[in-house]
This record gives sequence, structure tokens and C-alpha cells, in this order.
Amino acid sequence: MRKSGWVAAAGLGSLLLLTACGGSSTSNTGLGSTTAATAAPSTGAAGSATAAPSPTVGQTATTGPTHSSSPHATGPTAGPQPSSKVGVSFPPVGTTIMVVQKSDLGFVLDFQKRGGYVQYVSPEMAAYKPDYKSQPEGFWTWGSVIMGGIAYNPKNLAAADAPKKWEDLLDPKLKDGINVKVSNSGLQHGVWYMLKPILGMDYFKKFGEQKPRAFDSYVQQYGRLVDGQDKVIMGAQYSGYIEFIAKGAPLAFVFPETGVPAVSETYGIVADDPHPNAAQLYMDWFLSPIGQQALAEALLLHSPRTDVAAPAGSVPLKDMKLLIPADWNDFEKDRAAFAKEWDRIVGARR
Amino acid sequence: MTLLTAEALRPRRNWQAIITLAILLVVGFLVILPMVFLVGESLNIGDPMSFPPEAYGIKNYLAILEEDINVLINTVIIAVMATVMAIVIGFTLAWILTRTNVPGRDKLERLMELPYYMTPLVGALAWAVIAGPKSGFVNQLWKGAGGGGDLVDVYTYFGIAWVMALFEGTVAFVMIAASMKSMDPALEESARVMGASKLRTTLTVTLPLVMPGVLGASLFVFAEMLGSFAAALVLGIPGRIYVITTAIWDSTLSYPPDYGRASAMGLALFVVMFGMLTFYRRVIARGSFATITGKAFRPRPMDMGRMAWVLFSVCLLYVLLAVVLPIAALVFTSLQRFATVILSQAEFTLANYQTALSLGPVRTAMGNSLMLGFGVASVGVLVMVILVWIIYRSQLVGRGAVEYLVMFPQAVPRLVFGLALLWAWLNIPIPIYGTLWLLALAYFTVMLPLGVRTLAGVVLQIDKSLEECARVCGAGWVYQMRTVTLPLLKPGMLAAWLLIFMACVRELGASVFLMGPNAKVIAPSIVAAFASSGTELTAAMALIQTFTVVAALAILFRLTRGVTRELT
Repeated sequence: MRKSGWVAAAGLGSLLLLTACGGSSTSNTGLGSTTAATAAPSTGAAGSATAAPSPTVGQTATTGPTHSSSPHATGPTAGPQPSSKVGVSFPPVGTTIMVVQKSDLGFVLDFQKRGGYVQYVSPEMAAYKPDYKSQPEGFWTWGSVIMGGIAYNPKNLAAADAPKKWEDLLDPKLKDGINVKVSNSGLQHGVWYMLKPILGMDYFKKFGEQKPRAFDSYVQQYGRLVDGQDKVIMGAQYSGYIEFIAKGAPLAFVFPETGVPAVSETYGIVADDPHPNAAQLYMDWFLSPIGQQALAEALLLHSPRTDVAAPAGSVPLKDMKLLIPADWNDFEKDRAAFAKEWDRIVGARR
Repeated sequence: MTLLTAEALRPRRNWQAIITLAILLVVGFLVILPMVFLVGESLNIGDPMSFPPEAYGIKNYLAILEEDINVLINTVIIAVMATVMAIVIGFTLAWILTRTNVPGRDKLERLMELPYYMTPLVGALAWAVIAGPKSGFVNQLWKGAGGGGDLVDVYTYFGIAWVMALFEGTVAFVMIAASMKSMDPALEESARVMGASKLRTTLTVTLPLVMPGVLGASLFVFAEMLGSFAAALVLGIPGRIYVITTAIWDSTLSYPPDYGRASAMGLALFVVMFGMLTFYRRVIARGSFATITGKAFRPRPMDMGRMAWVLFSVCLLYVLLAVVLPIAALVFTSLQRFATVILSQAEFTLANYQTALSLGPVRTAMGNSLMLGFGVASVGVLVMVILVWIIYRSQLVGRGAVEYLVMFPQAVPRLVFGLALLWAWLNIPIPIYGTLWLLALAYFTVMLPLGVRTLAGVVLQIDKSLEECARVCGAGWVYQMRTVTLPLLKPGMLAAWLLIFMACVRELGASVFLMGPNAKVIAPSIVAAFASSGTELTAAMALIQTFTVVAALAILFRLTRGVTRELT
């Protein structure tokens, strides 16, 4: 297959996620980063960001996205921000850059193997642990950490009856009242992959008998808890919980003592990027403390950088018992089997 | 004289041949090639992203029976239920509006077209708001009145079929009404004279006479239901009900994308639809409409007395359920911060419209859809006129093949055709994937049957002698088309333009696979918003789409008042 062809094919899943479904960490509009797809932290998938206009002589600007925490914000739009100094000229307004953002490390590793990323070692990468970066460095880097626990609506489920641990989700009282993410979710795969050795395959067989419903985005999942259509979310995305709580939704989040599975949202520049310099500027900004703080404030995601504060009102990473896959290559190999099995659990296959 | 005729004929024949050949090649390339790619991918049992496939086999087809049998069963159950409901709706409305003296018949007939403007996507979103379990307006009212549990649940087989039937009911109505209009009323009158009641006349005379038309409509609607995507996506997934189209959609979203499974399911669906439509064409071609005789007749509707007002109410009920209620529910939802039907709890706001209109992507998507609609309809109608002329007026060998080719996309579900185009254009070394150009090509291709069918009716009404006069007077083929045929076709062309324009702006099935970050269109964007941004904003977007289409059409009707008057 021609390079451009399979790169496009490989990217398709994320592009479709972005453009049509909002992606795994989708927030707000679902059109997300439309103009700005991939680079846009709002979308949870792939796309492109719009670079800032050329500053006039003597001015400096960054290509950093402007963030909004409005419930209906469209996510970042690139614009000049008088902050850090960048000693290069900027491409004109509307310049498209292609930075892939995926929460599915299986996809990321495969995409790297197929030559989908271009290597760029940002100076900011020095602040990231080796585990959070590609080998060799520069192809992709963790941009945030997302974790999945259990969420419920205390108005519809008394705290005494609410699940405290993963095993409690098998309670027959919760049958037909649980929702999860679809099988193309990296976080859901992370939950499956980390809990399977702890709880056993039998757990998931029984979980399937609870007849969970699968949705593309956490907005649908939490929305169904709020309006009473479901009782519990299994693998509830924590950032979604913080967002809904900030809007006044009646929700509770459980960190089971076993731990909360976590995966990364990973960023890298696409090999066919028509404007690689602009993409590099974007990565510099995004991986910097300023970019990471902007991400935490806008999308309530936890930064892997230790010098960036956790989103307001959230539990810091250091206080969570995170279950993170140790062998990402094995995680990638498990992807296809997970997709089939999860489809069966949610009723999409026999 | 002989010399002059021979000289005049030679270039005419060449022009026709050249244009026909060019069109045949282009249409063949657009219609057949993507399907060839799809067949290849359905047999790919190696790396799903390899092209050409590394290994061939029928594993993907066998997997349909092993893993997706429940999906197949769901698809058939819903399609059968929806077809039965749509035919009942269509037959009832057609009978009322063609065979009875219901008051305001002409206006009611116009109202029956309204669901076509609404689209199944908007209808599905609206009915999710109206009849969703627990949070749906009906269930909120039920609970408020002290009721327990859910009174209605649209996330069920019946619910999905109901929404599909409401919007396909219009198609059934148009098809059955056409059959009823061509029926000699003397046959019904004979039955009445012999003492049969109105009901008995309807059941024993009218129904058997229009049965071929009803059967044809049933086959056509069933094929449409099998390939339906919007309602199954919006209402099926929350109810754990997957059909073939939603399973195809899911397969391509996963990583690694299961293109083999998606292609095999798509082709299986295509084969069934192709069979149904071939059967439909045979039923129609068999010419069982023996009621169309050489004897002149004038439709004489049955006098229904006071019952006419009951029938009038039935028509209004359909408009209420398919148009008024969904629009009202969407307006009510879009004006709230959190959707509720309990007025004391409602917080009204215009923020959703403000947000929707302020979103660059929404504006871009709406603009792109309008631009594509305008462009595809304008260019497409011109090409389709030539196609229709070649098929029904020329004497060219192989014109039957042209007809077959242009009607072919009707048998391919939109979603499947979108997938075929996606796979084809990812692998053809012309970089138009992810651009509006590919969407334009896709729209043109999938609109071919609609445009050709609409224009064919008009072309066949034009007496050949008018064109022959031009030719006898020495006009070449191009000159004759420009000065005689096209001016006579103007009203029909405008009608086809309007239909194609609307169909493009509301297109979802093919678009979902073909739009990219820089080539967004509105219908898939609404689906995306539904998945990720909440009901209120989605309702605002759906209404913006609906009213933009209506406004565009109103402006167009205003600008072309002289011509459009002939359409009404």
C-alpha cells in the first residue's frame, strides 16, 4: 500500500472520531476542532490546528490555542497570545497543521511503526518522563493522563447502594442501568486491559450479562446519568466528571481501592503535515507548562508534567492509585481481541 | 438535397457518440469503480489497511453469519416493521387524498411533502427528545401526572421503526397515490351501485386494483429501510439495537478499522437491496395496471359525508406527528439550558443558538452543504438531462446500459457507497479524499437515480415531433438541445434541481465517511454534536439546518416565480 494511502487509512479512525463522533475525550461541541482538528486538545482525536497570524515586526506571539471553559466552547482556536517569545515568523491565518492526538496507545504505536509520525524533539520534552515518550524520542509524547473509575447519580442511586469496587458492578440491581464507552475508546481498552488480570475474564463475562450500553463520548454517558436513563458508568472518565460537577450536575465519583485504570492522550506531528514548522511551534507551546496549564483549565485533564497543577477541584495524580499498562506493545497486541469481546459485551456482536 | 442531409447527419452522429461515450466512461468510473474496490476489500483477510490485499478469502462473509447474525436479525425485524407501518400510513393517506372528498385536498397533499424537508435525522433527534425513556417529554409528563415507569420508549425496535416509517411514509404515499390516481373510478362506482359499503368497496375493489402499486411501494420502501442509517444510529445504539448500517459504521471507527467486515456487510446489504429493487422494477414493468384504459375518465372521489372531517383529522394527525410535534419539541429543547417539559423547572435561553452560530465549524459545515447542494444540483441537472435524453430519445446502441448504470446507485445503501468511495479514493493516487471535491462527486453519483427519474418523466412528456422539426430544419444536435429540448424541460429541470439541492443539503449516509476536518457538511456534524455536546445544542443545530434549507428554497422560489408556478 502506498505510504500516503495507509497513513491516511491509519489516521482515518481518529479523523472520523474527531469529525463525526467527537473522539474519546470529546468535550463540548463534537465538531471540536473542526478547523483545528488534531492539534486541538478539545477534540480528543485527530485534525489540524490553525496557526496564528503573522505578527507585525517587533511583536512576538505564540501559536497557542486560546481555551475556554465555557460548557459549549468549541475548544481551542489558534490566535496570537502575547506570552512566550518565539523567534520565528508565523504562517498566515488559516494555516492547517496536523498533530494527531489519540488516547489509544495501541493506535499510536501502530501509527509510529507505519511511519505516520514525523520525529521532532521539542525542548519541552525534557520535562517528561521517558515512559511518557516514544522510543526513540520525538515521535509522540503524552499530553495528558486520563483515568476511568465509577460514577453514579446520588439522586437516583443511594450512596449505600452505590458500587464501591469494580465487583459491585455485577450487582443484579444495576442490570440495564450501566453505560460504558464503545470499543474504539482507548480509555475503555485501558480499563479492560488493566482489570482483566486482576478480576479475571469471568468478571467481564458476568459484566456482559448486566447489558451495558456503549456510547461514543463521556458527554452522552454523564448526560444519561444526570437525566436518570442510567445508574452507573463503568470506566467513567474523571475529567468528564469534573466538568459536569462544575456545571452543577448531581454526580459522585468512586475511586475503587483496586485502583483506577489510566491511559494517556498522546500527541505527535503527522508525517504528511503540510506545515511542519508551524506544527513544531504548536508542540513547543502545547508541551510547555503554559500549554499544559491551558489544557488543564480548558478540558480539565491532568498533565503528566509534575510542575503543572491538577485541574481545579480535582484529585491530583499523586493521590490516585493509577493502573497504567506496563507493556504498551502487549497492550497494542490486545487491541483487536478487546474490540471483538467488548462489542459482544455491549451487544454489537454475537 | 441528399448531399446536404448526409453532410448534416455526419457531425450530429459524432457529437452524440462522443458525448455518450464520455458520459458512459465518467459515470461508469464514478459508479462501478468504488464498488470494485469494496468487493476487493470484502475479500481481504490480511492486514485490513493493506492495499492491494495481502490475502484473499471469504472469512469476512462467514463472520457475518457467525458473529453478526443478531445484527442481521435486527435489521430485518426493524425493516419489516417500518415497511408495514410506512405502507399503512402511505396507503391510508393516499386513499384519503385521492379517493375521498376530504376537505382541502390540494393543500393537504402539499402538507404531506413536509416530512421530506424534515429528514429522518432531524426526526430521530426530535423523537428521542419526545419519547426517550425517563427523560423524554412524554415520560416526564407521565411521571409528573403520577405515572410509574416509562409510558413510551423510542429506543426499541418499535420506536426505531416508527420514526423510520413516519418519514418514509411520505415516499409510500407518493407512490401509492400515483397508482390510485390512475385508477378508473367507474369500477368503484359499480361496486357501490351493486350495494357494497364504502369499506367493502375499498377492501374488495380499490385495494386489489392498486395492489401492484402497493407491492411496488412495499418493495421500494423495504429496500430503503434496510439501508436506513440515521434513525438506527440515533435511536438504536442507546437501546443496544445494532443494525447493519450502524455495525458498518462501528467497524470503520474501531482501530484497527475492520474494513473487511464493513465491506462484507455492506455488500451483503447491497445484494439484498439490489434483489428487492430488481423485483420491484419487474413488478412495475409487468404492467399490471389494467385500470389505465383508453377510455377517458375523471377522478370522482367518494362522498364521505361527515366522515370526511374525520379523514381530514387523520391527515392532520400525520402532519402533527411527523412535522409539528418534532419541530415543536426541538424548538422547545433548543431554547432551554437543560431540556425539560416541566415549565416550572425550565430555564429558557438563546445561548444554544448563539453557540451554534458562533461555532466556526457549524457555519463552515452549513456553508459547505449549501455550496455543495447548489453546485451539484446545477452541474448535475445539466448532465442528467443529457443522460435522460440519451436513454429515452436517442437511438444509440447501449443506451439501456447507460440507464442501468445511472440507476445502479439506487440499489447501494448510501452508507455503503460512502464506504466504497472512501476506500477507492484512499487508494487512487488523486488527493481528493477529505476535500469537498470528493463529496461533490459522491453526491452527484448518489443523486443520479433521483435526478434521472425526475427528468425522465418530463422528457417523455415532450412530443418527439418538436425535436424532429428542429432536426428537419437543419439544426444540429447541440443546437436542437439548446433551442428546443432544454427550454421545454425548464420546469422539470427546476423541479429536479430543487430535489437534488435538498437531498444534498440533508445528505448523511455517504457524507459520514467522506467529510474531513477541512470539508465538513452539516448532517454528519449534527450527528457529531448529538454524540458529544448534549441535546439542547444539537436541537438548535438541527433547526438551523432545517430552516436554512427552507429559507434557501423560499428565496429560490421567489427568484424563479415564473417557472416554479408551473410546478405547483
